[in-house]
Amino acid sequence: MKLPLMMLVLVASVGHAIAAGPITIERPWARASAPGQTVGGGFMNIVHQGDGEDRLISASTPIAREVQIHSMNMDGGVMRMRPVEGGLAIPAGGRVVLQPGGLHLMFMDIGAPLVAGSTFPVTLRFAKTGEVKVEFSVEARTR
Amino acid sequence: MRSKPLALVLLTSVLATACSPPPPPFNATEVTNLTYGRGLGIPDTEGNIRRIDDFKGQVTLVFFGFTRCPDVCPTTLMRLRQVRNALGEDAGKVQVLLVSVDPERDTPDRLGAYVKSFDESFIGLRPEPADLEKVVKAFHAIAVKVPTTGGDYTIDHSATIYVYDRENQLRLIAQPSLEIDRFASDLRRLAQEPRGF
Repeated sequence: MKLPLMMLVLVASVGHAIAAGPITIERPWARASAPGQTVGGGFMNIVHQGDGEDRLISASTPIAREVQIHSMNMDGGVMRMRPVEGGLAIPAGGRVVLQPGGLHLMFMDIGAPLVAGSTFPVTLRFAKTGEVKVEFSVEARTR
Repeated sequence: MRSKPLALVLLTSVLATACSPPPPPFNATEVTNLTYGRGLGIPDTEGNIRRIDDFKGQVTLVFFGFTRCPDVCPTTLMRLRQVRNALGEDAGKVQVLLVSVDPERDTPDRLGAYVKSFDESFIGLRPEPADLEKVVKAFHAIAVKVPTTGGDYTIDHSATIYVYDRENQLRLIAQPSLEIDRFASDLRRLAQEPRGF
């Protein structure tokens, strides 16, 4: 039984860049949750050094019922958040930044609070690159 | 070499004394004669009815949010804590009120724990679900439920911050992106205004 080549290049890494083929995930992090908060936001940079567009189609984690990929924008003073339809395009040679105030992963119905200093695994699924497993670091609520 | 700038400084100070310039504009948007939200009673997370006019002597900040908002609401709450802390001894004259746009899911306990975790002084207000539309309209704000997946929903909502002075007059409308030091400078001015201004 031969493991897919992709599986061999996946190396678990906490708080660092992790590369899977042409895709590199930089600094995956989530904000510590507030008491009463049943959702969490996740952030990272996705760097694509290969040819042709790739797409982040979905993500999953054992710590949440569901992970959604969201865009967020301010429109005339109104905050609008939307699931990204059809996945998040990652252009060839591009860098897509998920950060507070913009694109983010939303962890729906977290089973336990996200505590600063802890980590949790997230599996990202790309249309071409396939699965990329990363560890998100939980950071204190300072930004 | 030094006498000329000194003369200029002296001249400037004489002129400044003779005709004091108008105060500089606020960093947030200044408004006048708007009665947004005044007179409206909304239950806090302890069940007490709160009105903006209850906060006489306080600079009161009101904004809308909900606990299942992953990004802009926690960011705003963190920033308002930083703004308030930047005021030093005037911090006690600033009251932050978060009005939930999701009273169906934001139970009083959940909303209270949430806002207090950002700052013990913050107060969560939870309109009855049937009153939400009336409350949002009273601020000329927007809150619209938007279905996402699996029967879930998010809420598009106004993210602006309404700032009332110590006489409970709406004075400023701030965007959540306003820099902390510029926001703090506005609030310090309002906190130091004499009452009856």
